[in-house]
Amino acid sequence: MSKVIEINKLNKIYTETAVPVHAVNDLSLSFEQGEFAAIVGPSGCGKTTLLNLIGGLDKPTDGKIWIDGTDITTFSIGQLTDLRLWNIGFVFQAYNLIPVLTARENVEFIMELQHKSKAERRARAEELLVAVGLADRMDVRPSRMSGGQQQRVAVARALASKPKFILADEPTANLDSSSTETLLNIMEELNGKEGTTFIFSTHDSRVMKKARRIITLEDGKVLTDNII
Amino acid sequence: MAWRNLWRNKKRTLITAASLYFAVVFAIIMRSMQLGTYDIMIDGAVKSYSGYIQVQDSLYFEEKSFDDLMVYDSTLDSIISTVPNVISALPRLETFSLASTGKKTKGVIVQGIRPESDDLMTGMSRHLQAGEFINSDDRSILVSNRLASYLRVSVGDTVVLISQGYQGATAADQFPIKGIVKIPSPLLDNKLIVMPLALAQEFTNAYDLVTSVAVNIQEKQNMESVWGDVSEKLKDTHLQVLRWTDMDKALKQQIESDDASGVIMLAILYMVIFFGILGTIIMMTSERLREFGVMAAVGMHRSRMAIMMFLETVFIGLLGLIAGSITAIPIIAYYLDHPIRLGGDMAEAYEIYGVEPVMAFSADPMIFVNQFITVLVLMLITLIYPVLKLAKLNIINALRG
Ligand SMILES: Nc1ncnc2c1ncn2[C@@H]1O[C@H](COP(=O)(O)OP(=O)(O)OP(=O)(O)O)[C@@H](O)[C@H]1O
Ligand SMILES: [Mg+2]
Repeated sequence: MSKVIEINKLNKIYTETAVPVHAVNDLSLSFEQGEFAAIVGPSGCGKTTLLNLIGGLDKPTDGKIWIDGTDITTFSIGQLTDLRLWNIGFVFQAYNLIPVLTARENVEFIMELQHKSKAERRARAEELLVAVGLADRMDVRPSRMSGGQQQRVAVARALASKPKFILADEPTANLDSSSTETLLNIMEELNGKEGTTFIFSTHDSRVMKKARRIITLEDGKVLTDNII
Repeated sequence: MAWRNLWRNKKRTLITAASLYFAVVFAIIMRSMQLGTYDIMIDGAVKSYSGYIQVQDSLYFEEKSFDDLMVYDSTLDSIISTVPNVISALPRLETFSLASTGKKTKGVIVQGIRPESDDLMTGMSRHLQAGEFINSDDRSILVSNRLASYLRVSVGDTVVLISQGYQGATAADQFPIKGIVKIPSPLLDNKLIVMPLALAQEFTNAYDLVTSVAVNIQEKQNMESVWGDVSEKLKDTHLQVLRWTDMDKALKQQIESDDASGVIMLAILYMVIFFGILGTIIMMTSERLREFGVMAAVGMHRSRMAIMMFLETVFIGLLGLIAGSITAIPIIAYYLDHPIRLGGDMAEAYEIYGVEPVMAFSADPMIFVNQFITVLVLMLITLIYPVLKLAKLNIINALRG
């Protein structure tokens, strides 16, 4: 299987603080196409920092990240923006849907940035919203949906661009247990159906149980890395 | 999406557009009234009296002495009238005189003109109150309306004029009144007597001589070009070509200072509006920083977000401008045909300054163009804030909200 992400001796040191924080410490890791992986570990171990670096939202202090064989650590802001648009889907803890747009429009928005045709956008958005169980909520705005529903829209949005992988930082942290269950089942199903790689961080043991690979971090280093 | 964002906070969009709207309506109407009133002032003093351009002997212009007259012959006439956009040259002989009717005596201006061609510019015959307009070979005079009332004369009466003639000759004669005319400028209406040029030359013993040649031009916009052309042709003579702004400096300054105070007032108004809009834009930006973070995270370029803000801002601007123009146009259109005639104390105050007591409007398209440019430029300046914010946007901080 081909490596989607390859990380080599990655370091991130926050220097804005009084005492510099070594959030990611000489970390090396790789992910293959189709993985369903959880990153776990105590609070402050560097999960969010790592996901932000992989997603090109932040720049490492040193080290390399290859996505599909291309080193992204030298990319400009504009190149990183395009990288995210075409290769990466994001699911945030706080859902972060665009409030003025309906569920359908939130999903289509990404494809609009990709200049996809109206027909293609419509078809894909409907397909995904049906897949996440929101066939009857397509034209509703985020403010009128529950957290679980919003996060399902967010998953649909993340998949809309047909990305190589999806990064989800604590996607279920704000959800109750039944919503968590539903969301994970949907993610698992889409992972199986579309072969999209899912990488998510979590504190929740129920979420970990679903993962097929669990990476444990401590002080910015990989402590354990188990394929289940 | 830009439209959606505007409707997200409908109330704020509308309040911002409404504040612009009122400013635009006010600005357009105020400018229209100012420019329209200037047109009336210029028409009253310039078009119906001096003309936009005059040719005078340089000495006469400086000294205003009746001994510094100029010769008016067919050569000079053809030099002036062949300049593009010139309708005709209007020779005139003007002198101060004492007018007496036995009971009353008053200092007046006696103006000798070629009645037909002069009337084409001044439109004097249209303001005839009584009697008839004069012909070039008449031996009678026109008396301005207020002067006639002061002297208590009417058509058919005789006025005695005593004046200094050319080169010290004494001029005294009596003239029958053929007509009473109303002169738009109240100052002149108090003291003007008009007679045919030939009669005036005979009266003052100034045969073939004139004090000035007014130039009747097609449009007032032609003034500068005609002035340049005539000056060029007469540059080797002792004649001087004058624009109305050279002749009537007081009127020019009065208009300029009034214009400047109007512009300053609008500048203050727009300044207030500007800060209002800036406030809206700052709020629009900061409450959406998180959203901008999300959009950037999922792959939207900052330049596109800036364009989105630009569209939203321009939309608010155009909404105010178009609605404002649509409101102002019928108001101006109405008052264009129905100038407001002032009465009472206001009218008196105007007349002290020698201005016709009328508030007129102008439909000069530049009034609208200027408002559009001003508002859009202000809107663009307010956009600097969100553009800088976007350039500095830190996605991770923005997402954390
Ligand atoms: N912007 C920042 N500036 C300074 N230090 C930071 C910043 N972001 C994170 N850190 C520090 O880096 C370390 C790793 O933080 P990170 O957010 O990656 O941890 P985490 O594993 O996601 O924790 P949690 O489970 O609480 O979300 C922590 O010590 C944190 O305080
Ligand atoms: Mg975290």
